[in-house]
Amino acid sequence: MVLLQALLNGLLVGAIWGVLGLGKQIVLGVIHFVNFAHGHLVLLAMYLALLLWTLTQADPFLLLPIVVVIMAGVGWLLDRVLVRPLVPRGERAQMIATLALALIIENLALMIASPQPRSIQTWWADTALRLGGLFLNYGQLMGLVVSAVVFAATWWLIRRTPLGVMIRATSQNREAAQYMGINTSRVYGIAFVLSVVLAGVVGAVYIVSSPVDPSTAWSFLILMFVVPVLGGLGSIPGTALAGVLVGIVQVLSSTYLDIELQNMIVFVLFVLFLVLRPQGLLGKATDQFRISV
Amino acid sequence: MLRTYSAPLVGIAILVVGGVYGATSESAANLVAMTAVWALMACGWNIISGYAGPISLGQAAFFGITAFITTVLFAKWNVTPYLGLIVGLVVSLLLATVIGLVTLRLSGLYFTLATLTIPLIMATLTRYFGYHEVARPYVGESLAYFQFNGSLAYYVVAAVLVAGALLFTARLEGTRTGRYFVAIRENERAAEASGVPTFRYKFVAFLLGSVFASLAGWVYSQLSFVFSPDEVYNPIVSVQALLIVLIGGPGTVLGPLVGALLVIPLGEFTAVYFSQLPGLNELMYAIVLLVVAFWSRRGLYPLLVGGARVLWIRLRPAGERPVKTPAVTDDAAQEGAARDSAEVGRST
Repeated sequence: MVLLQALLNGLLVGAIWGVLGLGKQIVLGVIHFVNFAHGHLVLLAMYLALLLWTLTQADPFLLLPIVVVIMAGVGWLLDRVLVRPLVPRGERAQMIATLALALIIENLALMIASPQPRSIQTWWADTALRLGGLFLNYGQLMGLVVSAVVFAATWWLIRRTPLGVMIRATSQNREAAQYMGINTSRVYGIAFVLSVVLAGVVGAVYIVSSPVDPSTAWSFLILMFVVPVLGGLGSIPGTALAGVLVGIVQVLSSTYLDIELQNMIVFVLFVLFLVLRPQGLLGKATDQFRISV
Repeated sequence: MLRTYSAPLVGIAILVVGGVYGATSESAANLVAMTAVWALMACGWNIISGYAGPISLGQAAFFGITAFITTVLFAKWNVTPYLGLIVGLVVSLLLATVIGLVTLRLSGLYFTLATLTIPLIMATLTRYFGYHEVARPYVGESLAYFQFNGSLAYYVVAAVLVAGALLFTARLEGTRTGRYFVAIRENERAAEASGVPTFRYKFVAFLLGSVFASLAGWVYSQLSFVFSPDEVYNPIVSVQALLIVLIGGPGTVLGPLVGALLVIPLGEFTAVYFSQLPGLNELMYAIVLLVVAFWSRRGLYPLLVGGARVLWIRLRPAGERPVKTPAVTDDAAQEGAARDSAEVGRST
């Protein structure tokens, strides 16, 4: 029963890591842009949700769309001032600039919100649904539902719409896509905004079940790196699967070992994957993969 | 001979001046000691990322592990920090071997991210084993335990290490290893195709960098008296090394020292005068990083020099200003200005 409960919790926790990885996946896969600040954008969304909740006391579930809209604006702005000028300047400049963005977000949070952990209280987030002998935490259940919707929507967007065709074409070969009449710089912008929106979803959902402080973002860093690699670059179902796998590993290691060790075990898993199966769970070996193992 | 070692000699002169300044007061001594520690740390990053190319953000791991081992050995078993340094260096090298063998196989971005996660994991592990804070026992002024009342003694040790690092870097530039490093940095594929065993040399650079980070961590732990995993394994430790070198000029001998001279006193200044704004320091770092990312590939230093050159040309009296065909003596300056403006032009 403990094992079953742990697996279930892993699924609930991992669903949201899947969305975290998906945002990273899109930026890496479509724009080939290195974003160190993705975790810090999640942090920004968490504080945004916190601020809105403090002002309105509204249910976090209702605040989600507002956070997403604001984050889309943030994404648009960042695309204009940061991503567009940096795309031609290469990996090194992108790393440095997004690291700077991460520091800016973290330290503004530190200045404005102080280093104390803060959280949202709701009447439902800490209560649990009983299913036989199993407990389902409502806050995390919301995460599962939202991430299922997000994954379905993203998959539909990429696979079934004209915009998705444009995104896939640009991802495969920007120049060729440009020749086919696709406005690739617009596609880049859309992809980046999409990834920031996904970071917003993660933040707005995660704040419900977990407190936030300015240094929280660094713990996302390992995960946002591990999930796309485990899933296989470019694979949306793989990303979902990898997120759940990471969640299960985390919960199992904190159930049977120690909660402090959970991210370490994930990292060990990641190294094993790099050595044994560098294309990830569902990635194809022929994919243009950036790891040279 | 003089040509090879002119830069480190300038560096040593700067360090001597620093020592004289440090002798004036205890707060000055503390400032110069911290600056020297960070210059040493930056020298390590400069070798990996400034010369050999891959951008490591894991320097805090080696910095922290040596600080940790030295402090814990001293606090628990009364082991002198000199022995602690040797144990720390050995462990740190073993750690660098493992980390290097795994992560150096990854390409650019993935290497950086993987190295960034390692100090975070080590902080977790250290906390897991119960070391939230370890204080260094106080034994009074004692050479045997490397403990002094003033910071100036630590500065002298740190300055000697920095001087050694500068001489080493200058010597490295002329060797085959140093040239291989630069070849890898400029174009790894081309280097591999020309017969450079790129993996092996990146590994060597990684090990060298870890040694300097360990030495810096050792002096730092002796200077700060308290070991805390959240402090020494903080990502900002690695970022600060990167920042210093980027400002001073990556891939240059004096870069780390020049960068540390600019960054550390500025950091201390904001920490003292704007203590009510805890994040201001790092916020300023971030802005400098943005400037570097957008306007200069080679750090802030060439940008400053280029700007000064352009200004110098503009500000000269009209009679001396070169007309359409510049005089022979102006060639170098003109070329420099043209290159700088071309670089700025490319970024816009």
